[in-house]
Amino acid sequence: MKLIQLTILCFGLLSMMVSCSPEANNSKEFSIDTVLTASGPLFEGSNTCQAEISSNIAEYIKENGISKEQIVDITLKSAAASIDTSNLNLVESINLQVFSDNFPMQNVAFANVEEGSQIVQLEVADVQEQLKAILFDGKSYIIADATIKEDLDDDLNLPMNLNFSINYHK
Amino acid sequence: MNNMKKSITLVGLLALLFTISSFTSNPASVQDGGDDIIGIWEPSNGKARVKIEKIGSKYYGKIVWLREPIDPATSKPKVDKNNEDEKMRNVPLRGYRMLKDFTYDEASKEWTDGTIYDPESGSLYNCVITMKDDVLNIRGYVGVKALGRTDTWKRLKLKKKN
Repeated sequence: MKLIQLTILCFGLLSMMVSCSPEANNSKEFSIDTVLTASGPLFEGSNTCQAEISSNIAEYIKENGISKEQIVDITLKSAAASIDTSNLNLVESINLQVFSDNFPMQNVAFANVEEGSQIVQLEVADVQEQLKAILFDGKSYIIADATIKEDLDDDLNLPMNLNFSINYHK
Repeated sequence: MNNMKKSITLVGLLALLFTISSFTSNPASVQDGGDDIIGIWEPSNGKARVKIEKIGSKYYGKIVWLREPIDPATSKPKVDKNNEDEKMRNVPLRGYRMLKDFTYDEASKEWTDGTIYDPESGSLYNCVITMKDDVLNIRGYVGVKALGRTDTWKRLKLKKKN
């Protein structure tokens, strides 16, 4: 009898602990379309295309009635770059990184670009630390280190579609 | 009359001084001392060349040249094969950011709070950089700065392409 009472008590305590824990119980996906730019002239090799993304995220959560405090974490689910037809055989690889003024830069996605590809799907990193902190830290930036095969006199523009998953509790 | 001339000369002199001081105190015209690090550098082993640049308010360095760009094991360009994240092991070392997130401390004349990545071992170290006579002292350490190791990097002055 005592054993049954003890078991019920344990279950009760366990369910209370689970229900009170701060785990996210809601998830939403949102995407950002931005253009990362490197100002030309550019030399053969790695060049840095850059864009600021903090305002896009702030706008999104405001529109969806989510406060910063409700958000448990944010992860990048997918990233796709568009290559301009004039640069089809120019870009060799794209290494995507995010950072902010107070949080370190980290790699979030990478792709080797096949010749002639117009849309490049990047492989997203498994390890994504502090993405929420970076994205809400004043100004946050996304950069793409794009390796190009030859010198380019013009700017290099990389339109990028980024899909994030945002986990939050009500 | 003499007094008037003196007054006019004094006013003119003051106006000139004001003009000069307003030029010299314009923040846009004062170069940040931290920017002295911007350029291309070669570590003491001569295996690579690293371009240090400024993004936002921080300094970053990426590998722009490798003495041996091809991995003999694969006969392909070297990649970050020691990255802890399996999905990021295809990132080429040429173009890799091995110095990250340095800020310049005007008081100590050091670039601090950054990290240096050793692609040969896949290890990440805290790092502090000082500069003297176009030579960088790059000190990598784990935890305690005193227990680290310093490497010297020399600045490369590259000729402009025609």
